[in-house]
Amino acid sequence: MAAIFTKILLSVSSFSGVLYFFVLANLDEKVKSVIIFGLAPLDNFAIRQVTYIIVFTLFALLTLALTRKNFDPEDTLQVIEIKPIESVAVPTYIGLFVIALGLNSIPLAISSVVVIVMFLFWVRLERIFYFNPIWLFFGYRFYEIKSDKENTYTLITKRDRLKGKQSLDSLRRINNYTFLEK
Amino acid sequence: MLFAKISGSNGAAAQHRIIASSKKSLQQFGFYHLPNIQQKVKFNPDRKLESDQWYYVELTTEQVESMLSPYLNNVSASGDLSKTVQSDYDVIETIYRVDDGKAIFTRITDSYRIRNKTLLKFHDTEQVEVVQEANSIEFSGDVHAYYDGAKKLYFRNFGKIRSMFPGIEEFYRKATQAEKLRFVNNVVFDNKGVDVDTIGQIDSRRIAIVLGDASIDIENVQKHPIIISAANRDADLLDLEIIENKITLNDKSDVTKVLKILLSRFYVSEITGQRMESYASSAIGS
Repeated sequence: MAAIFTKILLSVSSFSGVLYFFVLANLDEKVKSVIIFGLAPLDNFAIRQVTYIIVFTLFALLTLALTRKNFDPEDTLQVIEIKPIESVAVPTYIGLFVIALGLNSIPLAISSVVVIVMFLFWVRLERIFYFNPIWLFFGYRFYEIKSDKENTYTLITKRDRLKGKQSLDSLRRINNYTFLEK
Repeated sequence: MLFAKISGSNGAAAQHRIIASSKKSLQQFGFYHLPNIQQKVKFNPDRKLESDQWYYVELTTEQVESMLSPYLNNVSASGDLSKTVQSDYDVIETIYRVDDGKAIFTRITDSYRIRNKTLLKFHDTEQVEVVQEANSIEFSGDVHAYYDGAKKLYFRNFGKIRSMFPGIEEFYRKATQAEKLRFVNNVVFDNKGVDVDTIGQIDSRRIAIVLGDASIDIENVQKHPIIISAANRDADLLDLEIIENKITLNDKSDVTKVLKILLSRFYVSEITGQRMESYASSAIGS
Protein backbone atom coordinates (compact mmCIF):
# COMPACT_ATOMS: atom_id res chain seq x y z
CA MET A 1 0.00 0.00 0.00
CA ALA A 2 2.81 2.40 0.92
CA ALA A 3 4.47 1.59 -2.39
CA ILE A 4 1.31 2.45 -4.35
CA PHE A 5 0.87 5.71 -2.40
CA THR A 6 4.51 6.59 -3.06
CA LYS A 7 4.07 5.90 -6.78
CA ILE A 8 1.10 8.27 -6.94
CA LEU A 9 3.09 11.01 -5.18
CA LEU A 10 6.01 10.37 -7.53
CA SER A 11 3.70 10.94 -10.48
CA VAL A 12 2.33 14.15 -8.99
CA SER A 13 5.83 15.36 -8.24
CA SER A 14 7.14 14.67 -11.72
CA PHE A 15 4.07 16.47 -13.09
CA SER A 16 4.56 19.43 -10.77
CA GLY A 17 6.39 21.47 -13.40
CA VAL A 18 3.25 21.36 -15.55
CA LEU A 19 1.16 22.19 -12.49
CA TYR A 20 3.40 25.17 -11.76
CA PHE A 21 2.91 26.64 -15.22
CA PHE A 22 -0.79 25.82 -15.11
CA VAL A 23 -1.16 27.70 -11.82
CA LEU A 24 1.00 30.54 -13.14
CA ALA A 25 -1.15 30.94 -16.22
CA ASN A 26 -4.60 30.18 -14.83
CA LEU A 27 -4.76 30.52 -11.07
CA ASP A 28 -2.10 33.01 -10.11
CA GLU A 29 -4.57 35.86 -9.70
CA LYS A 30 -6.71 33.76 -7.35
CA VAL A 31 -3.69 32.78 -5.26
CA LYS A 32 -3.02 36.44 -4.53
CA SER A 33 -5.70 36.44 -1.86
CA VAL A 34 -4.41 33.35 -0.10
CA ILE A 35 -2.91 34.07 3.29
CA ILE A 36 -0.13 31.78 4.44
CA PHE A 37 0.38 31.12 8.15
CA GLY A 38 -1.74 34.15 9.00
CA LEU A 39 0.88 36.45 7.49
CA ALA A 40 0.57 38.85 4.61
CA PRO A 41 -1.35 37.75 1.51
CA LEU A 42 0.76 36.52 -1.38
CA ASP A 43 0.17 39.65 -3.39
CA ASN A 44 3.79 40.05 -4.40
CA PHE A 45 4.43 38.22 -7.70
CA ALA A 46 8.02 37.30 -6.89
CA ILE A 47 7.14 35.98 -3.42
CA ARG A 48 4.34 33.90 -4.93
CA GLN A 49 6.66 32.32 -7.47
CA VAL A 50 9.29 31.62 -4.83
CA THR A 51 6.57 30.07 -2.66
CA TYR A 52 5.37 27.84 -5.52
CA ILE A 53 8.90 26.71 -6.20
CA ILE A 54 9.60 26.01 -2.54
CA VAL A 55 6.37 23.99 -2.23
CA PHE A 56 7.09 21.90 -5.32
CA THR A 57 10.73 21.45 -4.31
CA LEU A 58 9.80 20.31 -0.80
CA PHE A 59 7.23 17.98 -2.35
CA ALA A 60 9.91 16.52 -4.64
CA LEU A 61 12.19 16.02 -1.63
CA LEU A 62 9.34 14.30 0.18
CA THR A 63 8.75 11.90 -2.73
CA LEU A 64 12.47 11.15 -2.83
CA ALA A 65 12.44 10.38 0.88
CA LEU A 66 9.35 8.19 0.51
CA THR A 67 10.97 6.34 -2.39
CA ARG A 68 13.96 5.56 -0.21
CA LYS A 69 11.71 4.47 2.60
CA ASN A 70 9.26 2.32 0.67
CA PHE A 71 11.38 0.81 -2.13
CA ASP A 72 14.19 -1.37 -0.85
CA PRO A 73 17.57 -1.27 -2.60
CA GLU A 74 17.29 -4.90 -3.62
CA ASP A 75 17.73 -5.12 -7.39
CA THR A 76 20.82 -5.74 -9.46
CA LEU A 77 21.69 -5.32 -13.13
CA GLN A 78 24.54 -6.18 -15.46
CA VAL A 79 24.86 -3.14 -17.68
CA ILE A 80 26.46 -3.25 -21.13
CA GLU A 81 25.48 0.20 -22.41
CA ILE A 82 24.76 3.49 -20.70
CA LYS A 83 23.92 6.99 -21.91
CA PRO A 84 22.41 10.16 -20.38
CA ILE A 85 18.82 10.90 -21.37
CA GLU A 86 18.16 14.36 -19.97
CA SER A 87 18.56 15.78 -23.46
CA VAL A 88 15.66 13.58 -24.63
CA ALA A 89 13.36 13.92 -21.63
CA VAL A 90 13.70 17.66 -20.91
CA PRO A 91 12.33 18.82 -24.31
CA THR A 92 9.25 16.65 -23.68
CA TYR A 93 8.73 18.52 -20.44
CA ILE A 94 9.23 21.89 -22.06
CA GLY A 95 6.50 20.91 -24.55
CA LEU A 96 4.17 20.14 -21.65
CA PHE A 97 5.04 23.45 -19.96
CA VAL A 98 4.14 25.32 -23.13
CA ILE A 99 0.80 23.49 -23.31
CA ALA A 100 0.11 24.34 -19.66
CA LEU A 101 0.94 28.00 -20.25
CA GLY A 102 -1.32 28.09 -23.30
CA LEU A 103 -4.33 26.90 -21.36
CA ASN A 104 -5.07 30.39 -20.06
CA SER A 105 -6.97 31.17 -23.23
CA ILE A 106 -9.74 28.67 -22.45
CA PRO A 107 -12.15 28.59 -19.50
CA LEU A 108 -10.68 27.34 -16.23
CA ALA A 109 -13.04 24.35 -15.99
CA ILE A 110 -12.05 23.10 -19.44
CA SER A 111 -8.36 23.75 -18.92
CA SER A 112 -8.56 21.90 -15.59
CA VAL A 113 -10.05 18.89 -17.40
CA VAL A 114 -7.24 19.08 -19.96
CA VAL A 115 -4.62 19.08 -17.18
CA ILE A 116 -6.32 16.14 -15.42
CA VAL A 117 -6.41 14.15 -18.67
CA MET A 118 -2.75 14.99 -19.28
CA PHE A 119 -1.96 13.82 -15.77
CA LEU A 120 -3.81 10.53 -16.26
CA PHE A 121 -1.80 9.94 -19.44
CA TRP A 122 1.27 10.87 -17.46
CA VAL A 123 0.49 8.27 -14.81
CA ARG A 124 0.06 5.61 -17.50
CA LEU A 125 3.34 6.62 -19.10
CA GLU A 126 5.10 6.38 -15.76
CA ARG A 127 4.40 2.68 -15.56
CA ILE A 128 7.35 2.33 -17.92
CA PHE A 129 9.27 5.58 -17.60
CA TYR A 130 9.89 7.95 -14.72
CA PHE A 131 11.49 11.35 -15.03
CA ASN A 132 11.38 14.15 -12.50
CA PRO A 133 13.07 17.37 -13.65
CA ILE A 134 13.17 18.74 -10.10
CA TRP A 135 15.44 15.88 -9.09
CA LEU A 136 18.00 17.27 -11.54
CA PHE A 137 18.44 20.18 -9.14
CA PHE A 138 19.21 17.73 -6.32
CA GLY A 139 22.14 16.40 -8.34
CA TYR A 140 20.47 13.36 -9.87
CA ARG A 141 21.32 12.18 -13.38
CA PHE A 142 19.06 10.18 -15.66
CA TYR A 143 20.61 7.48 -17.82
CA GLU A 144 19.29 5.02 -20.33
CA ILE A 145 20.96 1.68 -19.65
CA LYS A 146 20.92 -1.58 -21.53
CA SER A 147 21.31 -4.84 -19.60
CA ASP A 148 23.21 -7.89 -20.80
CA LYS A 149 19.81 -9.39 -21.60
CA GLU A 150 19.20 -6.58 -24.08
CA ASN A 151 16.55 -4.88 -21.96
CA THR A 152 16.53 -1.10 -21.69
CA TYR A 153 15.86 0.81 -18.47
CA THR A 154 16.07 4.26 -16.96
CA LEU A 155 18.63 4.62 -14.17
CA ILE A 156 18.40 7.57 -11.77
CA THR A 157 21.62 8.08 -9.87
CA LYS A 158 23.73 10.77 -8.24
CA ARG A 159 26.77 9.38 -10.01
CA ASP A 160 28.04 11.62 -12.76
CA ARG A 161 29.82 10.62 -15.97
CA LEU A 162 28.67 7.03 -15.76
CA LYS A 163 30.09 5.05 -18.69
CA GLY A 164 30.86 1.54 -19.88
CA LYS A 165 29.94 -1.97 -18.78
CA GLN A 166 29.32 -2.40 -15.10
CA SER A 167 27.41 -4.24 -12.43
CA LEU A 168 24.83 -2.25 -10.56
CA ASP A 169 23.40 -3.27 -7.25
CA SER A 170 21.31 -1.71 -4.49
CA LEU A 171 18.78 -0.48 -7.03
CA ARG A 172 15.34 0.68 -5.94
CA ARG A 173 12.65 -0.35 -8.41
CA ILE A 174 10.34 2.60 -9.10
CA ASN A 175 8.66 0.61 -11.85
CA ASN A 176 9.73 -2.36 -13.95
CA TYR A 177 11.71 -0.05 -16.24
CA THR A 178 13.05 2.62 -13.86
CA PHE A 179 15.53 2.18 -11.04
CA LEU A 180 16.87 4.62 -8.48
CA GLU A 181 20.40 3.86 -7.32
CA LYS A 182 20.75 3.73 -3.53
CA MET B 1 16.23 -13.91 -3.19
CA LEU B 2 13.12 -15.86 -4.03
CA PHE B 3 12.13 -16.35 -7.64
CA ALA B 4 9.59 -18.17 -9.78
CA LYS B 5 10.16 -19.74 -13.13
CA ILE B 6 7.15 -19.55 -15.40
CA SER B 7 6.54 -21.55 -18.53
CA GLY B 8 6.73 -19.60 -21.77
CA SER B 9 3.50 -19.32 -23.73
CA ASN B 10 3.21 -20.53 -27.32
CA GLY B 11 6.59 -22.19 -27.32
CA ALA B 12 8.40 -19.12 -25.98
CA ALA B 13 11.29 -19.63 -23.61
CA ALA B 14 10.59 -19.92 -19.91
CA GLN B 15 10.80 -16.69 -17.95
CA HIS B 16 11.75 -15.88 -14.40
CA ARG B 17 10.01 -13.58 -11.95
CA ILE B 18 10.85 -12.14 -8.54
CA ILE B 19 8.72 -13.30 -5.63
CA ALA B 20 10.68 -11.67 -2.82
CA SER B 21 14.00 -9.89 -2.77
CA SER B 22 14.11 -7.51 0.17
CA LYS B 23 15.11 -8.67 3.64
CA LYS B 24 11.71 -7.65 4.90
CA SER B 25 9.77 -9.67 2.32
CA LEU B 26 12.11 -12.66 2.66
CA GLN B 27 11.47 -12.84 6.38
CA GLN B 28 8.09 -14.43 5.76
CA PHE B 29 9.82 -17.22 3.80
CA GLY B 30 11.98 -18.26 6.73
CA PHE B 31 10.44 -21.74 6.52
CA TYR B 32 11.91 -22.19 3.02
CA HIS B 33 15.55 -22.91 3.71
CA LEU B 34 18.46 -25.17 2.73
CA PRO B 35 17.83 -28.82 3.62
CA ASN B 36 19.97 -30.50 6.23
CA ILE B 37 21.36 -33.39 4.22
CA GLN B 38 22.92 -36.08 6.38
CA GLN B 39 23.15 -39.01 3.99
CA LYS B 40 24.32 -38.47 0.43
CA VAL B 41 23.92 -41.19 -2.16
CA LYS B 42 25.30 -40.97 -5.66
CA PHE B 43 22.35 -41.07 -8.03
CA ASN B 44 21.28 -44.59 -8.84
CA PRO B 45 17.66 -44.89 -9.92
CA ASP B 46 17.55 -48.53 -8.84
CA ARG B 47 18.40 -47.64 -5.31
CA LYS B 48 15.60 -46.74 -2.95
CA LEU B 49 16.37 -43.94 -0.55
CA GLU B 50 15.95 -44.00 3.19
CA SER B 51 14.02 -41.09 4.63
CA ASP B 52 17.20 -39.18 5.52
CA GLN B 53 19.01 -39.86 2.26
CA TRP B 54 19.35 -37.65 -0.80
CA TYR B 55 20.67 -38.52 -4.23
CA TYR B 56 23.33 -36.29 -5.69
CA VAL B 57 24.85 -35.83 -9.11
CA GLU B 58 28.19 -34.19 -9.76
CA LEU B 59 27.97 -31.61 -12.50
CA THR B 60 30.61 -30.40 -14.88
CA THR B 61 31.20 -26.68 -15.34
CA GLU B 62 29.27 -26.89 -18.61
CA GLN B 63 26.35 -28.62 -16.92
CA VAL B 64 26.26 -25.99 -14.17
CA GLU B 65 26.23 -23.36 -16.90
CA SER B 66 23.39 -24.95 -18.86
CA MET B 67 21.26 -26.31 -16.02
CA LEU B 68 21.74 -23.88 -13.15
CA SER B 69 22.96 -20.56 -14.51
CA PRO B 70 19.49 -19.59 -15.76
CA TYR B 71 18.49 -19.70 -12.10
CA LEU B 72 21.65 -18.53 -10.33
CA ASN B 73 22.41 -15.58 -12.61
CA ASN B 74 19.16 -13.87 -11.73
CA VAL B 75 20.64 -12.74 -8.44
CA SER B 76 23.08 -10.46 -10.22
CA ALA B 77 20.47 -9.24 -12.72
CA SER B 78 17.23 -9.12 -10.79
CA GLY B 79 16.42 -5.78 -12.41
CA ASP B 80 15.84 -7.69 -15.62
CA LEU B 81 13.00 -9.60 -14.00
CA SER B 82 9.48 -8.48 -13.33
CA LYS B 83 7.74 -9.22 -10.08
CA THR B 84 5.18 -11.98 -10.01
CA VAL B 85 1.65 -10.89 -10.80
CA GLN B 86 -1.71 -12.59 -10.52
CA SER B 87 -1.65 -13.89 -14.08
CA ASP B 88 1.54 -15.84 -13.30
CA TYR B 89 -0.38 -18.07 -10.91
CA ASP B 90 -1.32 -20.55 -13.60
CA VAL B 91 2.07 -20.80 -15.26
CA ILE B 92 4.52 -20.91 -12.35
CA GLU B 93 6.39 -24.18 -12.66
CA THR B 94 9.21 -23.72 -10.18
CA ILE B 95 9.74 -21.63 -7.08
CA TYR B 96 13.36 -21.27 -6.06
CA ARG B 97 15.57 -19.43 -3.65
CA VAL B 98 19.18 -18.43 -4.29
CA ASP B 99 21.54 -17.40 -1.49
CA ASP B 100 25.33 -17.12 -1.77
CA GLY B 101 25.55 -19.31 -4.87
CA LYS B 102 23.43 -22.05 -3.30
CA ALA B 103 19.89 -22.68 -4.42
CA ILE B 104 16.82 -24.64 -3.44
CA PHE B 105 14.05 -25.54 -5.84
CA THR B 106 10.44 -26.57 -5.51
CA ARG B 107 8.53 -27.79 -8.52
CA ILE B 108 4.99 -26.48 -8.70
CA THR B 109 2.53 -28.81 -10.36
CA ASP B 110 -1.22 -28.43 -10.75
CA SER B 111 -1.77 -30.31 -7.53
CA TYR B 112 -0.24 -27.33 -5.72
CA ARG B 113 -2.68 -24.86 -7.26
CA ILE B 114 -5.80 -23.95 -5.35
CA ARG B 115 -8.63 -22.82 -7.55
CA ASN B 116 -11.69 -21.27 -5.94
CA LYS B 117 -11.79 -23.40 -2.85
CA THR B 118 -14.19 -22.83 -0.01
CA LEU B 119 -12.60 -23.53 3.34
CA LEU B 120 -14.00 -23.65 6.84
CA LYS B 121 -11.87 -21.82 9.34
CA PHE B 122 -12.36 -22.70 13.00
CA HIS B 123 -11.91 -20.36 15.95
CA ASP B 124 -12.06 -21.09 19.66
CA THR B 125 -14.48 -18.36 20.53
CA GLU B 126 -16.25 -17.58 17.31
CA GLN B 127 -18.44 -19.39 14.87
CA VAL B 128 -16.93 -21.21 11.98
CA GLU B 129 -15.84 -18.80 9.30
CA VAL B 130 -16.21 -19.53 5.60
CA VAL B 131 -13.09 -18.52 3.72
CA GLN B 132 -12.86 -18.37 -0.07
CA GLU B 133 -9.44 -19.14 -1.51
CA ALA B 134 -9.02 -18.24 -5.14
CA ASN B 135 -5.95 -18.71 -7.31
CA SER B 136 -3.41 -19.56 -4.67
CA ILE B 137 -0.44 -21.87 -4.61
CA GLU B 138 0.01 -24.25 -1.75
CA PHE B 139 3.59 -23.73 -0.67
CA SER B 140 4.84 -25.59 2.35
CA GLY B 141 8.51 -25.07 1.60
CA ASP B 142 9.25 -28.64 0.50
CA VAL B 143 12.59 -28.68 -1.26
CA HIS B 144 12.76 -30.91 -4.33
CA ALA B 145 16.29 -30.03 -5.37
CA TYR B 146 19.25 -28.36 -3.76
CA TYR B 147 22.37 -27.01 -5.42
CA ASP B 148 25.27 -26.66 -3.00
CA GLY B 149 27.22 -24.10 -5.00
CA ALA B 150 30.04 -26.64 -5.44
CA LYS B 151 28.81 -28.48 -8.54
CA LYS B 152 26.64 -30.99 -6.69
CA LEU B 153 22.90 -31.14 -7.21
CA TYR B 154 20.87 -32.99 -4.59
CA PHE B 155 17.37 -34.38 -4.97
CA ARG B 156 15.18 -37.23 -3.80
CA ASN B 157 12.92 -37.81 -6.78
CA PHE B 158 14.43 -37.65 -10.25
CA GLY B 159 11.03 -37.52 -11.94
CA LYS B 160 10.15 -34.38 -10.01
CA ILE B 161 13.23 -32.43 -10.96
CA ARG B 162 13.75 -33.70 -14.51
CA SER B 163 11.84 -30.82 -16.13
CA MET B 164 13.59 -28.19 -14.03
CA PHE B 165 17.10 -28.91 -15.30
CA PRO B 166 17.37 -29.45 -19.05
CA GLY B 167 20.11 -31.96 -19.78
CA ILE B 168 19.90 -33.79 -16.48
CA GLU B 169 18.50 -36.79 -18.38
CA GLU B 170 22.13 -37.53 -19.09
CA PHE B 171 22.29 -38.96 -15.57
CA TYR B 172 19.37 -41.22 -16.38
CA ARG B 173 20.65 -42.34 -19.72
CA LYS B 174 19.20 -45.29 -21.56
CA ALA B 175 21.22 -47.33 -24.02
CA THR B 176 20.78 -46.48 -27.66
CA GLN B 177 19.84 -49.14 -30.20
CA ALA B 178 23.49 -49.45 -31.22
CA GLU B 179 24.59 -49.85 -27.62
CA LYS B 180 22.00 -52.55 -27.00
CA LEU B 181 23.24 -54.43 -30.07
CA ARG B 182 26.84 -53.97 -28.94
CA PHE B 183 25.90 -55.38 -25.55
CA VAL B 184 24.01 -58.51 -26.67
CA ASN B 185 26.64 -59.26 -29.29
CA ASN B 186 29.51 -59.12 -26.81
CA VAL B 187 31.71 -62.21 -27.10
CA VAL B 188 30.90 -63.26 -23.55
CA PHE B 189 27.38 -64.00 -24.77
CA ASP B 190 26.03 -66.44 -27.31
CA ASN B 191 23.23 -64.38 -28.79
CA LYS B 192 20.52 -66.65 -30.14
CA GLY B 193 18.67 -63.79 -31.71
CA VAL B 194 17.49 -61.48 -28.96
CA ASP B 195 15.32 -58.74 -30.45
CA VAL B 196 16.78 -55.58 -28.90
CA ASP B 197 13.52 -53.74 -29.58
CA THR B 198 11.90 -55.90 -26.91
CA ILE B 199 14.40 -54.81 -24.23
CA GLY B 200 12.50 -52.60 -21.79
CA GLN B 201 13.39 -49.19 -20.41
CA ILE B 202 14.82 -50.49 -17.14
CA ASP B 203 17.15 -52.90 -18.88
CA SER B 204 18.07 -50.26 -21.44
CA ARG B 205 19.22 -48.07 -18.60
CA ARG B 206 21.07 -50.96 -17.02
CA ILE B 207 22.86 -51.62 -20.30
CA ALA B 208 23.92 -47.97 -20.41
CA ILE B 209 25.23 -48.28 -16.85
CA VAL B 210 27.12 -51.50 -17.59
CA LEU B 211 28.69 -50.15 -20.76
CA GLY B 212 29.67 -46.93 -19.01
CA ASP B 213 31.11 -48.56 -15.91
CA ALA B 214 34.86 -48.94 -16.20
CA SER B 215 34.94 -51.23 -13.16
CA ILE B 216 32.70 -53.76 -14.94
CA ASP B 217 34.71 -53.36 -18.14
CA ILE B 218 32.62 -55.86 -20.12
CA GLU B 219 34.51 -55.15 -23.36
CA ASN B 220 37.68 -56.47 -21.76
CA VAL B 221 37.93 -60.22 -22.53
CA GLN B 222 40.20 -60.70 -19.53
CA LYS B 223 37.19 -59.86 -17.37
CA HIS B 224 35.05 -62.53 -19.02
CA PRO B 225 36.18 -65.48 -16.86
CA ILE B 226 35.07 -63.49 -13.77
CA ILE B 227 31.70 -62.80 -15.39
CA ILE B 228 31.28 -66.46 -16.38
CA SER B 229 32.25 -67.54 -12.87
CA ALA B 230 29.66 -65.22 -11.33
CA ALA B 231 27.04 -66.46 -13.80
CA ASN B 232 27.91 -70.10 -13.12
CA ARG B 233 27.24 -69.64 -9.41
CA ASP B 234 23.63 -68.66 -10.03
CA ALA B 235 22.94 -70.28 -13.41
CA ASP B 236 20.87 -73.17 -12.01
CA LEU B 237 18.61 -70.91 -9.97
CA LEU B 238 18.25 -68.42 -12.78
CA ASP B 239 17.76 -71.05 -15.46
CA LEU B 240 20.65 -69.60 -17.42
CA GLU B 241 22.60 -71.63 -19.99
CA ILE B 242 26.36 -71.41 -20.10
CA ILE B 243 27.96 -73.35 -22.91
CA GLU B 244 31.65 -73.23 -23.76
CA ASN B 245 32.24 -70.22 -21.52
CA LYS B 246 29.52 -68.18 -23.16
CA ILE B 247 26.24 -67.19 -21.61
CA THR B 248 23.36 -68.03 -23.90
CA LEU B 249 20.92 -65.21 -24.55
CA ASN B 250 17.67 -66.71 -25.82
CA ASP B 251 15.37 -63.78 -25.12
CA LYS B 252 15.02 -60.52 -23.19
CA SER B 253 14.58 -62.33 -19.86
CA ASP B 254 18.11 -63.71 -20.21
CA VAL B 255 19.32 -60.18 -20.85
CA THR B 256 17.69 -59.10 -17.57
CA LYS B 257 19.41 -61.95 -15.72
CA VAL B 258 22.89 -61.22 -17.05
CA LEU B 259 22.45 -57.53 -16.35
CA LYS B 260 21.62 -58.33 -12.74
CA ILE B 261 24.70 -60.53 -12.53
CA LEU B 262 26.87 -57.77 -14.01
CA LEU B 263 25.40 -55.24 -11.56
CA SER B 264 26.11 -57.55 -8.60
CA ARG B 265 22.50 -58.07 -7.66
CA PHE B 266 23.04 -61.67 -6.61
CA TYR B 267 25.02 -62.57 -3.56
CA VAL B 268 25.37 -65.21 -0.87
CA SER B 269 24.30 -64.22 2.61
CA GLU B 270 27.11 -64.85 5.05
CA ILE B 271 24.56 -65.10 7.82
CA THR B 272 22.19 -67.65 6.34
CA GLY B 273 24.29 -69.06 3.53
CA GLN B 274 21.36 -68.49 1.19
CA ARG B 275 21.71 -67.10 -2.29
CA MET B 276 20.03 -63.71 -2.32
CA GLU B 277 18.89 -61.08 -4.80
CA SER B 278 18.92 -57.38 -4.06
CA TYR B 279 16.80 -54.78 -5.79
CA ALA B 280 19.69 -52.37 -5.92
CA SER B 281 23.33 -52.39 -5.14
CA SER B 282 26.09 -49.88 -4.75
CA ALA B 283 29.60 -49.85 -3.36
CA ILE B 284 29.61 -48.95 0.32
CA GLY B 285 30.31 -45.26 0.79
CA SER B 286 29.37 -44.30 -2.73
